[in-house]
Amino acid sequence: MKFLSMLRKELLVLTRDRMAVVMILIAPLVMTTVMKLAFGNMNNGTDIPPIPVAVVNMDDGQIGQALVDLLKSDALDNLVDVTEAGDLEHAQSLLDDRTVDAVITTPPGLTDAIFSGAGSEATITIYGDPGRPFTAGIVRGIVQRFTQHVAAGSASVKVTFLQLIETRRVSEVTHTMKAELGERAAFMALESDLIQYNEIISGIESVKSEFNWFKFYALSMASLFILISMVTAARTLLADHELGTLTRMRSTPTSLGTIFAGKTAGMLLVGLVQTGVLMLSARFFMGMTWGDPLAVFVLTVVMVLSAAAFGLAVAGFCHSSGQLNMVGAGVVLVLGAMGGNFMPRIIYPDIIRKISLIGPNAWAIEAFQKVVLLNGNLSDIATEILVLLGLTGIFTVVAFLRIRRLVK
Amino acid sequence: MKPILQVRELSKHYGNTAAVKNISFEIGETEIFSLLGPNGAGKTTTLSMLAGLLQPDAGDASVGGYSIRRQAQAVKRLIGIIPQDIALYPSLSARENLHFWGQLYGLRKKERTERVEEVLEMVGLRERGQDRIEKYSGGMKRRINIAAGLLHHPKIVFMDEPTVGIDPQSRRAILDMVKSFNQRGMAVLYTTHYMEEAEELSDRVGIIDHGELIAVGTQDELTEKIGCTETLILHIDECQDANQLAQALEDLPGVLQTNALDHHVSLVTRSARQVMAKAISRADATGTRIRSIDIQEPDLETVFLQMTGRTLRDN
Repeated sequence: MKFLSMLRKELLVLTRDRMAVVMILIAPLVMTTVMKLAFGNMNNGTDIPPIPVAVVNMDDGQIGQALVDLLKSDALDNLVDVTEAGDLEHAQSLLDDRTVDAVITTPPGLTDAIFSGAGSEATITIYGDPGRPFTAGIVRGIVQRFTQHVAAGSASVKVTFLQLIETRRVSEVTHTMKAELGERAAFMALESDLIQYNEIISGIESVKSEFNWFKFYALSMASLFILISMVTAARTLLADHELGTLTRMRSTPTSLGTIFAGKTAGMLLVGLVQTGVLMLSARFFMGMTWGDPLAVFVLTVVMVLSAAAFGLAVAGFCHSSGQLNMVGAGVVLVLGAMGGNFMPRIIYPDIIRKISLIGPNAWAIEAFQKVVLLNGNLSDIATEILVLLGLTGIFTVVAFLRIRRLVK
Repeated sequence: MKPILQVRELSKHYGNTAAVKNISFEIGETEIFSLLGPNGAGKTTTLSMLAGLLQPDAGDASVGGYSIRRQAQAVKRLIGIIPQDIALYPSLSARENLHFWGQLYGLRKKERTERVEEVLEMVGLRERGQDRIEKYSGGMKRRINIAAGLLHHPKIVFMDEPTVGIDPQSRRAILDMVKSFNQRGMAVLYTTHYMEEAEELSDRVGIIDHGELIAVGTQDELTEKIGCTETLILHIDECQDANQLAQALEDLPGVLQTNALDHHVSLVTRSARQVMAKAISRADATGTRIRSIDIQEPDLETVFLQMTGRTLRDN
């Protein structure tokens, strides 16, 4: 079968290139080691003591009291340590002298505003300690999820009531990231339209216990690494063009489709080996858990495939392997920045977040976070998988058309 | 002789430039046919169309009865391509390269192994088959480049200027190889701008210039076409002006054509001996010192010169 011959040749050429072998096998190991050294001892959720929080409940209705009850419930006992402050001034003094990490205030008339349909005017304010963005982010996640489920459980009330305002937002990146994770955890735990505190709590607790910087960056860097690797690997296509071997292949009774499929398969295999090395090294040397094996496997295959197709599409627009090195690096850096490889996408303006969805990395990160950080399964990432397959299809068509032009 | 290749009014344009204009010719089953022309004459474009790498704008060609337009895959099974540049994987050994190309021609393992050894033997590199291509000399690479095009026993081999830029020894080896696989029953379409290669190898020659096939025939047929001519070559000192001498000689009786080259002037004549004395005298009159004189029987260079007004090296 010619396809297998192409694949075998690709691997043979690759293994003769010592630098390529280093890139495939050693680079993932080095990367995980560096990340572990950098983040391994930071903010492992299980080491965090209960977060001291001050609550100023100025609402005299059910909603404000429900929030206080939730925060003081036994289920959140080991997560937050709540102090009820009489007024905002007192609460802020607690924050200033670092007795608490965050202050939550409910405004007077919150419940009435919600039930009268004037929810948009109701504001719950969180004051966070800028020096402790991790804990403030978790508090924000709890409150945000709580308010959303109040809205869901009161569908007839026409509520759009939550507007979170945080002050002292020095570490916005990490802060918003935690909030997003807290929200997601709660969302996944809640299937009912009713307020179910216990499920909210367990969702948030799972985030707390699972989250650590190493995992978060391992996922971001893994997807970036694969994207770089696949764009680099697409160089072989242009190298074949430069060597004249692509033209020679076309002079044999072998279709361009077979040649293209062989190239893609070679890249897929390389990408899978690299990801496998990265995952296994993270698992066995760093103790990282990757979540549901089926979901991780499917996601990895689809992610690598889409990155390979993306790499070939980029290569299709280049005239030489040297040009691809330059163009590829630029494209990957831009996509990486926009797609959440360096910082969470939620901090970007809406337009950038939408544009970033053209890159496979944004979807891959999203899906990996669901699986690894939030214990999601295959059905939880079905959308991301389908989108990645769709992107693979688009990139493949673009790559094929461009490569056909290249060989003419 | 039954034709293996029939070319009918084949044309190709790049933008407004006609690379190949309406060319037609045939090659017999065991024939060596050379397309002789200067660089940029349209040789490689013609070969690329025949190999299915370029789509013709007009016309068609058939190999073994299969149309290059409609049955390109069938055509590719019958032809062997030997590109001008080395098209091999430098990091793979000669054997690994050959096995790969054999696989793309659909050869099964046992047959492929036999063919690989056979072509390695043919190009004299069987002992070095396990060495990586990157360790080979330029000439050895050329030989493996040729071997890769012969693995599937093609009916016709297309060779695109295979001797460009190589040493005389490797060139000699390649020309002998061409004869050798022709003797094994393969037809050859050989493109070159070296007149002496076309003369040595070819049963017939097609002269191509500016995309047009100007003449086709055996060497004798072609020289007959331009009439019975001889070329008188006057070698002059380096410091003297060949163009000025050529101009001074162009109206001499019996001179059909003059051509000024680096340090000599060539005169196409009906009889070189009759013109010689007058030419020397005219050169003296212009103050040009002639260092030596050659008389050349008509050859393909003469044919090309007379048909195009230029030499093969002009371009």
